[in-house]
Amino acid sequence: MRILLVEDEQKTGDYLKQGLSEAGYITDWVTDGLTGKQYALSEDYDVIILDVMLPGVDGWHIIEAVRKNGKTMPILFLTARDQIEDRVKGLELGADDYLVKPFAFAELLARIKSLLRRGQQREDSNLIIIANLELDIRKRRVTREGQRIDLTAKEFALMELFMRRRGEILPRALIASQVWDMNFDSDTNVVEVAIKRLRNKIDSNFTPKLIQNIRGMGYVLEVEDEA
Amino acid sequence: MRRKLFNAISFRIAIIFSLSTVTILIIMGFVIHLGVTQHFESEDRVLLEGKIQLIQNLLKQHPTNSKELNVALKDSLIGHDNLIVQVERPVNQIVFNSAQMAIAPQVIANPDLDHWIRWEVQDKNYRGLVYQNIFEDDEDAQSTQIIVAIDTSEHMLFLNEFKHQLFYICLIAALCLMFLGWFAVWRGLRPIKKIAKVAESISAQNLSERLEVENTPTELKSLTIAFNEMLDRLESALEKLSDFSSDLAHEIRTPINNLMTQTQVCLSRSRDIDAYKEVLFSNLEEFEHLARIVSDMLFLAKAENGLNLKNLQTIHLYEEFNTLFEFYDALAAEKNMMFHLFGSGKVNANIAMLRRALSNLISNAIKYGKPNSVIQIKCQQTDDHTSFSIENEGPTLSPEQLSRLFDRFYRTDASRQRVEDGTGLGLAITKSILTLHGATIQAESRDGLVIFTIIFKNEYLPT
Repeated sequence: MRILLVEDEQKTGDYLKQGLSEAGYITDWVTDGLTGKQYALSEDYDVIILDVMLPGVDGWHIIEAVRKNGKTMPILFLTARDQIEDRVKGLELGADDYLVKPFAFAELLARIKSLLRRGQQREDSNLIIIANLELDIRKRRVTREGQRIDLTAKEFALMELFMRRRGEILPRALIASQVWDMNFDSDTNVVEVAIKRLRNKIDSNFTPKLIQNIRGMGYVLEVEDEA
Repeated sequence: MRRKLFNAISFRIAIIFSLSTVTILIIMGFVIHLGVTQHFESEDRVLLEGKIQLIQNLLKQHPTNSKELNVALKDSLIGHDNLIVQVERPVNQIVFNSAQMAIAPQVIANPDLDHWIRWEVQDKNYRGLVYQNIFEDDEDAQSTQIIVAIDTSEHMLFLNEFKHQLFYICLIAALCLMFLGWFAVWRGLRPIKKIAKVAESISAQNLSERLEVENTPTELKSLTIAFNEMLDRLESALEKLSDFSSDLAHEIRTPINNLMTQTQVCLSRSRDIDAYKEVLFSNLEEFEHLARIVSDMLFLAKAENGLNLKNLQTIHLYEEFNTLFEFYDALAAEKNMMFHLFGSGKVNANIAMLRRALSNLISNAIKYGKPNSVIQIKCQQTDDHTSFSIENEGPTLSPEQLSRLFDRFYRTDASRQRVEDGTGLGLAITKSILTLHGATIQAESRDGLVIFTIIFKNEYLPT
């Protein structure tokens, strides 16, 4: 997977490139708009990450140029300007997603994964099995080692999210938005408590432990043996 | 320059003032001139008519044209140098003439018996009367004609001079009044200059300056009061802003201080990798806290500028609260708390913003509520407003605490800084969102209860 990163801020670019590379992406990093445009048009990338304010030509211009050229790869833009008009403008020009600075790196990774998945066929099976845990979506039933576990509706939705996106670190804000439709940074540790209760139900009496807390980043469902 | 002059109120008023006085003075001058002329005329008439009466009497006393008559007539004219008299008996036979050359021939040829006759001879202006009479009781029945006239040159001269004088008086008066008008207006507008001076001297450092209302002219009172009120508003806004900046600085200083100390201590000697990791994680938490403060602040700034109120829709409180209950279910269950919802209602709002506002209230109710208690939410809808209250059991708050509850960064218990990861902006955000929707929020506390009451006006609600 190849990612083009256009970011003029030295430190941000450095760490993003390092983080992305360590997450397994081949990352090209350029620091000005003109080079960014040239790379975006000449090479084939799977995802482009664009800063809006750039020397040379700005991010909007690059998005426009890429789309005019008939390239359909997902574009995610980063902006420090949290104005609705800005976001609307970016999305109208053909961007697929945006993140407002400052953002959590885990959030960026999650968005990139979701963008990459978008084109692919979504596995829409009704039964997801991970290790010894079974989730029957149609029957709304969870069993582990054949033992039925009672979950509330939201706990079930949470479990489904974790299982569908196994191996991905899910930031708390993303979980709150996906499961409860709370699209703002919640002031409380609601998500933590909800996950703690879920873990009590599905993990405490069983091995392997499935849901892990990645400190400072979020939560991930992972079978430890696999990692 | 010319434009500037014309734009000055004092100049305009002076012009209007002097134009109107000039008009009035001209009219007055005409009236006076006319009055004086008429006065001279009637005076002359009385004099001339008296003479005619006298001559008639003399003619009666002397029925024949004799020398005595001539003498008597001459005597009667003594002391009246400016009078001329011609007596004819019968008509066209001159009996007596005081100044032969002075009577213009057309007067005799064409006598007008009722009106003044005016003529000019040898640069002198005359005005005269012609009188004809038939003596009916006289046997001779001789008719007489008396012509009397007066030299009006002196009058004319006087009137001419009088006219000039009037003109100059008018001119000087107009100029004086123009200046006086300008001066009066200039003086009158001095309070405005005072206002300007105060306004000039006001800067962020001395917003406490105010204009005096007592001695201000009535016309300027409302302006002065409005000006003072504007200063009041500016002052309180600025005060809030500076309070807020210092709060913000303080609020940010704590996490930054933590970051610095931790990092410095960590770097002071070499440690194993887990210790470094621990510091990085701890730093990450501080950064997240900082990021949240910044984004909350940005949100507040935007909400207070009245932006972003788009996508209004009708929201059923029952559904909205149930969504929020689902979210906070786990947290409430931890403290064994329950939600009870009474009544229903609907409001017109931006759903994301309303949800954020309400979630802050519910999160607070759980955070500060007594374990094992019930959080009660009561909705009520009438024709003109929708109200709902959120009530939790908890320590009773003092009026002082209640009044500051919606202030930014305010915490009821100073020692509970940064309890459970809050930014201290939750209620401030709630309030600004509600204000943006034209709704009000009030907090009260008694008998171990804390109650927030929110009232939405229904004027925004489509029927």
